[in-house]
Amino acid sequence: MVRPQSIHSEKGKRPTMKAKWWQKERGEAPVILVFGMIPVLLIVIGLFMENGALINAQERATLIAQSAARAGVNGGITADTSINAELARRAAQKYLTQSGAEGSVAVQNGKVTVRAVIPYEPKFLPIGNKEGVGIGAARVFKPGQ
Amino acid sequence: MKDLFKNSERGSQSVSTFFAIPIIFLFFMLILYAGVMGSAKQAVQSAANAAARDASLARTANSGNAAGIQAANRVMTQGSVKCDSIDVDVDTSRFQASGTNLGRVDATVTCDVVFSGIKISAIPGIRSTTAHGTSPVDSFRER
Repeated sequence: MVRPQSIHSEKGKRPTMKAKWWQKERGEAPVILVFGMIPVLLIVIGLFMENGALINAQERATLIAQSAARAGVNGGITADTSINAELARRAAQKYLTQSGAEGSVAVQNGKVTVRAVIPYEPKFLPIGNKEGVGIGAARVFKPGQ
Repeated sequence: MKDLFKNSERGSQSVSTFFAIPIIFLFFMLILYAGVMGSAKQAVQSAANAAARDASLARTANSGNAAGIQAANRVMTQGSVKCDSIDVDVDTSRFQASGTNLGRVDATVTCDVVFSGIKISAIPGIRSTTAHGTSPVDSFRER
């Protein structure tokens, strides 16, 4: 006698195989959604915060670099309104140190260029570069120039 | 049909969704909070920078103080960040250059951020956001 077989028994899944744990979890989709989403959302929040902190650090580094360049010009200016490279570099480095930044100073053709680096501590995600970098330049403008 | 009533989990989906909603809502609030705090920090930082720079451009320490406070308040009102109170402290005690030290102005701006009607500092463990800005005073300027 030939019995018409159902689709399930034809595939041989339902009656023969023992249901695995994930097959028993019918109706658990929202739970999986929530607990699966938590790490993803945490990473999203972390990226959000860290990116904000990084941009903030860059902005601060830029201000420090610009200020240090100005400080360099002020420190290195001579009587004939040209720049003494050595004095300028020293003044700019001093300002950088006072502001809690590291960096390099270049003096060329009366223009002081400063690259300031400030470290920042990541709060959530310890990834990416952990410093804000900013560049600023200053030079002497004579009246009427 | 008989099988369905014996061991039914029908309808449990909407029940557990109901419990999932507050958690998801909380997470979205957390993201929103992160965004608001991030932009608040940004605004406070640029206010402190502007205060220091404006104060350093003034002719005297006293007028520098006033100019710095004015600048910080101007920047804070430009942005979309709501503060319960804005605290601006412009330190012009080192305005005059002394020896090899250039004159400099330090500014500190503190904002008690309001997040969807709640004062942030009212939540335990969270302080208001603060930023420092510094600017050197130019020694040789056109007068």
